[in-house]
Amino acid sequence: MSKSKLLKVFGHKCWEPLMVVFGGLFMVSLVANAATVPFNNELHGFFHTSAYEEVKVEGAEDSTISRPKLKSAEEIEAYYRAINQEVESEGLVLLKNENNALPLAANSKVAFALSGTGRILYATHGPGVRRDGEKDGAFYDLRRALKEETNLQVNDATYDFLATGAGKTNRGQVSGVFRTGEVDWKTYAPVVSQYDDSTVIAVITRESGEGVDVNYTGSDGVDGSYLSLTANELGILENLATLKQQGKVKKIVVLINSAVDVRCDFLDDERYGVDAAMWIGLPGATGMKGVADALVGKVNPSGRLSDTFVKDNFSAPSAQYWKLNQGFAGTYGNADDMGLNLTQKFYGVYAEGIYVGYRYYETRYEDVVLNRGGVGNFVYKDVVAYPFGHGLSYSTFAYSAANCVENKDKNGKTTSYDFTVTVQNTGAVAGKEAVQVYLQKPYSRHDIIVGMEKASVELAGFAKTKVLAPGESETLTINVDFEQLRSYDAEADKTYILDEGDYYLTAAKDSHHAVNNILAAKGYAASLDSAGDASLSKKILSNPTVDAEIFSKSSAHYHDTPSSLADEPCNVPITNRLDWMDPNRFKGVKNAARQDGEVVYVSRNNWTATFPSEATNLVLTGKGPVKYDITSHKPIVEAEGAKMPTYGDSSTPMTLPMMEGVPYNDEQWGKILNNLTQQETFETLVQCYGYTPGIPSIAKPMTDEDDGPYGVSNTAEGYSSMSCEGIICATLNKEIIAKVGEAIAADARSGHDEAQKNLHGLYAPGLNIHRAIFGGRAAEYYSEDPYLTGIAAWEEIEAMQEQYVVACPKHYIFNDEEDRRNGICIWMNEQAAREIYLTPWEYAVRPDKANAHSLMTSFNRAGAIWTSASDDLMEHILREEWGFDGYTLTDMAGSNGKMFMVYDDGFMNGTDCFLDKGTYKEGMTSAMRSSPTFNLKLRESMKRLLYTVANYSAAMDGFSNSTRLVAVVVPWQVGLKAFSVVSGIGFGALALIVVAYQIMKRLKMFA
Amino acid sequence: MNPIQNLKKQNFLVLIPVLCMSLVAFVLALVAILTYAGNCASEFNGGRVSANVTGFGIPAIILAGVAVLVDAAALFLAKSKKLASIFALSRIANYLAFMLLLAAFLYQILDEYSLLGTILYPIFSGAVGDPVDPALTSSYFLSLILALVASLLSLAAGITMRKMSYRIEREPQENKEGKVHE
Repeated sequence: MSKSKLLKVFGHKCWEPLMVVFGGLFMVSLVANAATVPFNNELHGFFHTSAYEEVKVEGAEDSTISRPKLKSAEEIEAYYRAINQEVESEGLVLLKNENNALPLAANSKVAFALSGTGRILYATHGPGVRRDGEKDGAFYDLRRALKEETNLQVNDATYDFLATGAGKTNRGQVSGVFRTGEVDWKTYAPVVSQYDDSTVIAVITRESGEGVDVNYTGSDGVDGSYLSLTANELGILENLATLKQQGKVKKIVVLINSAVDVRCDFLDDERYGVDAAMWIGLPGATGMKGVADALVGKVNPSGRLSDTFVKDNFSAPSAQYWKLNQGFAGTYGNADDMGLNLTQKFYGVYAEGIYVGYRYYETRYEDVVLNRGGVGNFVYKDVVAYPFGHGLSYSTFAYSAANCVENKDKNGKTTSYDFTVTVQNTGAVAGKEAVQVYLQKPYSRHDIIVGMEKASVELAGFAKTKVLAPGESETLTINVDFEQLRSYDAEADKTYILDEGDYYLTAAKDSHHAVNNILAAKGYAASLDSAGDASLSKKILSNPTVDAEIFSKSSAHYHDTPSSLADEPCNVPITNRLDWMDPNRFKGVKNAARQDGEVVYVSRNNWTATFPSEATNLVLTGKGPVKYDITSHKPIVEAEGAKMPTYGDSSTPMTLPMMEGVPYNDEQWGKILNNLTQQETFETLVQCYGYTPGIPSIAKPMTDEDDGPYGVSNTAEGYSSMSCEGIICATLNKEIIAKVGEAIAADARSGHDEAQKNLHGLYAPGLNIHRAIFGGRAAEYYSEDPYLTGIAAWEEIEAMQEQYVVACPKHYIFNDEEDRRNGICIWMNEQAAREIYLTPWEYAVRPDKANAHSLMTSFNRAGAIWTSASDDLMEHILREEWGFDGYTLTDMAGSNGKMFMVYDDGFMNGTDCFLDKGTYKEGMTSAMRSSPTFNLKLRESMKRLLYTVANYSAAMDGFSNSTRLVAVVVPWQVGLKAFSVVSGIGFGALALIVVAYQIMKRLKMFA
Repeated sequence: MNPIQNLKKQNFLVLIPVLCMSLVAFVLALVAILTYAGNCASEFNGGRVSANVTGFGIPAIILAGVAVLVDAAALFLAKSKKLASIFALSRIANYLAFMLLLAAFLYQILDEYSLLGTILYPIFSGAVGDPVDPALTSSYFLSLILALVASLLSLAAGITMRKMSYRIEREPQENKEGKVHE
């Protein structure tokens, strides 16, 4: 081609724009390719591909691992929906039923009021579960449930008015404040005539969820909080009551649709004329069918409250603290001086100590009866609407023949108590009765001297009868472990003790009944606010002196193989581990609001003097050890004799299937770990973002995990929403609770939802405590009671793991509030920490109890340090005292907690995996890379992960010694690379043309 | 009007907006990268500044600066068609600045997905979500928007300059005495 022709071709005006376009595309392709690193799993999920494929090699000795699933993709939905309905039926609580207002008669007319009716809250905010299933009919609303389950005459006009008409809900958050947005009674004018001769069902709904606590002030409730009824809601009820008086409305039935407690004083207020009320929690996708069944008597309610329902939202010390401090999260008084960032500057104090929920109300009530000094002006019935454990039935049940037998081992030591009680159905309809057994431990002189606290009663056991026909009886035996008699003495003996004094067990219908039974047995029958039955109480022990030995060593049995336990308990000494999170024992913080610098914990020794009455003003003093201060990236301290572990030694090739059944301490684990490089080890552990990565070199499959506590989240299918955890444990039926675990795990493994694939683990259940009424994430946690939480978790976890779905209960620990959760410092005393907050976890993770194979840590700090960076919490208590040998996973480390949820602090203190998308290049500092101690910790973390996957994960189903994982390149990866290459080459070629043209042109121009 | 004077006037009318665009793109790119590096990496991404953002952003700023200088020079020195044609090559610097700023913008999203996710989560989930310092949120979005606008302005400046360059080529050539060959 001649020069002039070439110049003409190169000079075509299309090349420059094309060069720019290709250049732009090349940049996009570079970033797109970079995005495949952190979002590899998401992309594989989106395209339904895998990073590697399983192949079988010849010649290897083969024994295929079989971990079958319970339900197929075709079977799961119907099965799951049935369980959801059953759980809701069994867990909903009949709070009130005046004049047998319920069940509703066949063919009776029902109409509706209050906006919650038209938009039931099925699940909460956050990654719990999908909440918009009603759009495609996956969720059962109240009308649909009533029409399908009952033969009631449902008034469509009032329902439509509330669902889509002028009465529909405007609830939601406005500038971060939850509001009901309930319309007033005037708006009801078009439908008032529709109520004629009907029973009106009014649904009160309250939202709550992840990342936010419920507003204690600034909302539209009559007390300013979101948890009291609004003036409009009360006005509607009041007008309905007037219609009832006029004979235009037959009955008023209230359904409380909320995971958090709602102030219930209105239920007994005659102005509002409520005949019956039920707490239905958050019912999940199908739960409203159970509610409909209960309304007409197809189901006889047998649920019991898993929290205390109050008449005054600020009556509990935790709520009072909230109010005095203008929210739970306070700001350190010297935050600005110290230059604290958003993840450092907030704190909260658990000033109530052990007096959470009924432990406060019942204890103070008992002290009123006992006329203890400093009890103050406390009237139980003025503040408690329905006690913990309360629940009515359409029938009545009588308890008799209570008895308690002490069980002893071969050495004559007491191991447990069998409490038996006979329950008879004395009513006219068949039903179940939930019997609760409460324990009273003595509040002794020792306690007063050293500052220990004791609740008047603690739930110690429960059981539910079968369906008893009228007149039928059943004798229940409820076992109470002797260890439940222990109390934690953080001051004198610094361990669990068997306190001096008398111990009682009683069978009761609720916590208040329990206190009254015991007080009656003690001779205070005349002073009680309601009758107590002394015959149901049994004194089980009179201990003359404090025994600080008997519970001072851990009774946990470690695994000796992955499927068996050691015969003997580990006997690890138990002593104070958390002094650094008690402002009164730790020098690094003080309460500047008081001269003595201390925080005041509530004490039954003087209620009035210790009940929260002033705001705290914590300041960091900088006087504590660096280990416990608020800084991150603590120096790595080398352990004596630590040697760098071997990395990348494939001289003894091993694969994970070979490790099935190999005990944790077997040396073979060292050999397989030697095969891994440092980068493989690190990147596997810091990329557990809803999965644990596959490691082809040792045939470790990728495991896929997801939320959540009441159903698989992020699913395209709406049916996965189960009833909230409060309802699950309100069943007080271990069999039903286990069914929930079974259903959730079966759903996870079913592969029903293509987007979700087949899951191998679930971040569930939630084990934090309903510490204060305003805690926003109550739907994902069970109860205010640690024992109930622990037992429910036990049942659910065991059932999940029977299907090889690794349970990952969350959030370890003290994540009982949501506001400022990223880094908020939680301060409390060790007695409260152990007896209230750690207890459920002990049930959940001990190998001789629920044996959860993993757990998720929390965003918050314990004291000033991130919970995951505390060797006391992560190593000494979790692994040594309790024998946990699974792996620990952080909460989402990619959020704004990243400043303190850091790799070095985490790995050095017992954190194993990060819910993150970290990379070796950016995450592994040179200090970490070269530290023998850090690398030994890293390797131990990898061992825990591999041990769990090899022995307990469904991901290993079908694997054998001959299984190998071969990395594959999938079409979308090819496409992306091709995009890069084409755009890159295109850009380069076009740039050459443009440059060549410009040069040629200049040469010609200047020739 | 003399065709040469006409050309100069036309070029001048083009060069002024091109210079303005280049200058604004340069300033915005500079502010975007400084805002990002100075604020956005403080709480997120482990306290790190993304090497990708700065790796692409800094050369982009340099190229945008070069474009500004050349455009400014063109304004005063492009007294002939040849020189005008050479100065018009500033568009190449603008093209490259556009590409690099585009990459920096995209990396600012990718490498700060933690921050972006935390900011956006409450918007899409309906929950309040975790607290993000409002100043940080503002800085991040400011930096993001500025990088994008700077990128587009660089492209616009380049394209405008290219148009001018083609027009120059179509214009009659002057001789050494300044007379026009028809």
